[in-house]
Amino acid sequence: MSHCTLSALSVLLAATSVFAQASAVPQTKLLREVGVGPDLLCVATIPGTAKAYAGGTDGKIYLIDFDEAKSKPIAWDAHVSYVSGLAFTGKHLISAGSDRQLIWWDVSTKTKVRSLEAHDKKWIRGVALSPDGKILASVGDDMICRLWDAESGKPIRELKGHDKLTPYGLISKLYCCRFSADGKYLATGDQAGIALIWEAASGKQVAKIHAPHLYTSDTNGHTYGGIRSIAFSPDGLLIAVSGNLAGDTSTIVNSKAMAQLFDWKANKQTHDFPIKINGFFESICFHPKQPWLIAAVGAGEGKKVFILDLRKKAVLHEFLSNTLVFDIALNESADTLIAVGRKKALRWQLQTGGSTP
Amino acid sequence: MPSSSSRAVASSSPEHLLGRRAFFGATGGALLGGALGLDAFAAPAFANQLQRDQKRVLMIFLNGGMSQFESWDPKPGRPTGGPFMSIPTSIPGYRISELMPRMASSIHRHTAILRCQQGFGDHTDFTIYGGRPKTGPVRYPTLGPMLARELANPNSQVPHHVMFTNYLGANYFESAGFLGTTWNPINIVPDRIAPTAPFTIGHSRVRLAPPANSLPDSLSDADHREREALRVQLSQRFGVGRSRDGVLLSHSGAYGRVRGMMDSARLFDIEQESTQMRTRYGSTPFGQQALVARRLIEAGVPYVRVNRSWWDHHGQNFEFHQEMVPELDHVLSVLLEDLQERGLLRNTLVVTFSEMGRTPGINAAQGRDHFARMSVTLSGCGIRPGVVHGSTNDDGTAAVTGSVTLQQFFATVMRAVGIDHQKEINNTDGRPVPLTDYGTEPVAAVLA
Repeated sequence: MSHCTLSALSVLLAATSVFAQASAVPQTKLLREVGVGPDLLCVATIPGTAKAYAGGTDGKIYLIDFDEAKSKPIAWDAHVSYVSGLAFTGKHLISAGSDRQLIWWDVSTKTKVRSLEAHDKKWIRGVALSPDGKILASVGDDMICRLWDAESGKPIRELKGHDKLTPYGLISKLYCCRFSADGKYLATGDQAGIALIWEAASGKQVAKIHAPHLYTSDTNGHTYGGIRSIAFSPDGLLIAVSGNLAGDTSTIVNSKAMAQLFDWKANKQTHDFPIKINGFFESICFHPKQPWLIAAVGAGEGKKVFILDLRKKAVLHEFLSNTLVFDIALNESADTLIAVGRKKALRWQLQTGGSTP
Repeated sequence: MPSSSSRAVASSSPEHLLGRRAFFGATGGALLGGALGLDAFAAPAFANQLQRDQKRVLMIFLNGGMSQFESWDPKPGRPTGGPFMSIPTSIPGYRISELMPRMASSIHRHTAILRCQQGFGDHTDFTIYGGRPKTGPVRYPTLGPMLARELANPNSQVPHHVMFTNYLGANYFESAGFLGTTWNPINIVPDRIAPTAPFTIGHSRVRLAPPANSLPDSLSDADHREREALRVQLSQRFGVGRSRDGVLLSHSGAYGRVRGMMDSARLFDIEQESTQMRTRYGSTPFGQQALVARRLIEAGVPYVRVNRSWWDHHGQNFEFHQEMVPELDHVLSVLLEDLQERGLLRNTLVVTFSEMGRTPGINAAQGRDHFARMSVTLSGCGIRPGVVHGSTNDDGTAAVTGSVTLQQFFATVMRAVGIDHQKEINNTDGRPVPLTDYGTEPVAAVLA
C-alpha cells in the first residue's frame, strides 16, 4: 500500500516535536469524488499537483486529476491481476501486483521499463519508497522484505525475519512496509501481528514488536487479522500498526477497527485505539505537523475516516468517506488527503484550524 | 425402479466368508473383546482381504461454503475472478487456482471433478440431506448414515460412522432419520474456551478423539464387563417379542458397541503414528484430524467425515482462502498419497463436498456471498480419474454443461462404492424409501 509523502515531511519535522503541541481542531471538506469502475487498492500522489496514481482490481493503473470537474481517469493495463502497491519516484512509477510482478513504468509513455518477479513467485503485497526516493522496499508472501535500487531496479538486500507460518501452522502474509521520515529505519508488518524494525542501511533487524489482538483464532476455526498498515511517527520514535480487533467472524460484523502505537525502542505499547465500527483500518498515516494518526476504514461496512488524537488518546474527528477506503495519502504540505477504495477516489481539504483549549 | 444391490461387501459371498475367517484368525483373542485394532494389519493375508472387500468413504466437508473460484473453477482476469491466478493441472486443458499446486500436479491420478447445482444456497442442512426435506412425514437420513449402514461390516466392532469438526457453530451433523440412531455418528467436537479480554468471542480447542472413551478411575474393567453382562441379560429379556422395535435395536446396538469403542481408543491416537507421518499431514487441526480419519479408515470404519470450517467469507474472502485453500490442497494431497501407498485408495472413496459455493460477485467487504453452485471432487474407489464433468460460463455465473443435482451426486458416491443408489429401505411405517429419489441417475462419466 502507499503512504504519506515523507520526503518533504522529514524536512518539516526535523526541528520540532509535534507531540509537544496542543491538538488543533481538524476541519475536512470534500473537494472531489471520482467514480472508477473497479475497486482501487493503492495510491501514489504526484507532488505539486492534484493528481494521483491509483491501482485497481482490474489490473489497471489510473491517473486521476482531482482538479478536473468531471475527472475521467486515464487508465492503462499494468498487471494481469490486482494492483497491490504503487510508488512514484518522480521519474518512474513502480507498481506491484498479485500477479507477482514488480514493474517500473515510464509514466510519460505508459510503457514498461522493466518487470521483475520479485518475491519468489508469491504475491507482492505492497511497496514503499525511501524519503530520498533512492530505495524501494517491497513485501510479499514469501515473507521477505526486499530492497531495490529505485532507479536501476537492482536488488540491494533481503530482510528476512518474519515467520512463514502463523502460530496456527497456516501460511502467513507480509502485508506492509514503510520507511521512517529520516530514512534510517524501515518497518514491516505481518499477519500474525508481528512488526519488525530494520536499519535501512545495514539491513539489521533492530526491534520486534508483537501487536496484541490483531491476530487470533476464533470459535469458527478462523485464524484472523493481521497488520494491514504500518507507519512511523514523524519523529521516528513511535510505530503505529493497524487492522482489526481480531476474533470475530469472517463477516466482520461488530468487529472493531484497531490501531495501536508502540515506543518501538522500548518495546512498549503507548496507544490503543479499538474503534467500534465494522471493519479494518486498512490504511494509516501520521500527520506531519499535528499529533494525529489518520486511519481509514476498509474491508468492512464502516465508511469513515478517523483522526485520532495521540495526545488525548481519543478520536478527535471523524468524517464519512462514502466508500470503503483501502489506501490514503497526504500531499507534501499535508493540507489535502486522498483516499482510494470501493470504486471511488476522493480528495479532501484538511485544515488544522485553531488549537484546542 | 429399484434394481438389485451391487454392493461389493455382500456378507454372504464365499470370498467374504473367507475374509471373515481371516479376520478372526488374524486378530485372535483380542477381537473377542471388541474392536479390530491396527495390529490386525500385521497379518498380510487379512490386510489384503480387507483391502479387497471393504469399501469405505472419507468425506471432507467444507462448512460455510468454499469458493469454487478460489479452488476448482477459477476465472482469472474476469470481473468475478478475484486476485488469484490459475495454474495448469495434470489433466490437459483443466486449470485450478494457484492456491492448489499439489493437487494440480497429481489430480489426474485419482480425482474427478463435478459441478453441482444445489438449487438452494444458504446455511441449512439442505446439502447434507441431498436436497430432501429434513422434516415431514418421512424422516430422511443424511448421506453419512446411509453410507455407513450399507458399507458396515456387521461383525466389526469398530465405529461405523465418525465425524470430526473444528467448529462450534452449525456443523450440520449427520442424522440417521428413519434408519435408526445406530447409524448416527460419533461426533467429535471441539472444546469451547471462554473469551479473554478484549475479545468478546471465545476460542475453541480441537479434539482428535471422542471424550470419555475410556473407563473412569472409579470403574474397573471387570466391573464394567459384569455390568455389561447384566445389561445384556436384562435387555434380552425385555426384547422378547420386540425384535422389530427400531428404537430398542438402536439402543441395544449402541450399548453393544461400547466395548468396541473403548478398545478403539488407540485408533484415535495419532501418537501411534511416526513423527514423520504426523509431520507429513501437518500440524494444523485439520491435518491432524485427517490423519486420525485415515487411521479409522484403515481399521475398517466405513464412513468418516472431517469438517473443515469456516468458509463463509462474506468479508476478506481472498485473505481467508489464501490461508485455507493451501491447507486443503496439502491435506487432501497427502491423504490421497497415503491411502494410495497403503493400498487403501482402491477401496476408499475420498470426497470433498462443500456446504455451498460462493457468488461470482465480489462485495464491498472483498467477500463473496452464498451461491447455489459449487464444485466437488471424488477420488479413489470406483472413480474414473481425470474427468471434469460440467463447465461454467466465463464469469462462473451459470452452468454451460453437465450441471449435477445433489441427488445425482449422492447416487454417484453410492455407485462408486458399490451401493445400489435405488435400493429401498423400509421407513418406520413400512413404506419403502429409496436411498436416492426414484429416477435419479449417477454421473456415469466419472464412474470407473
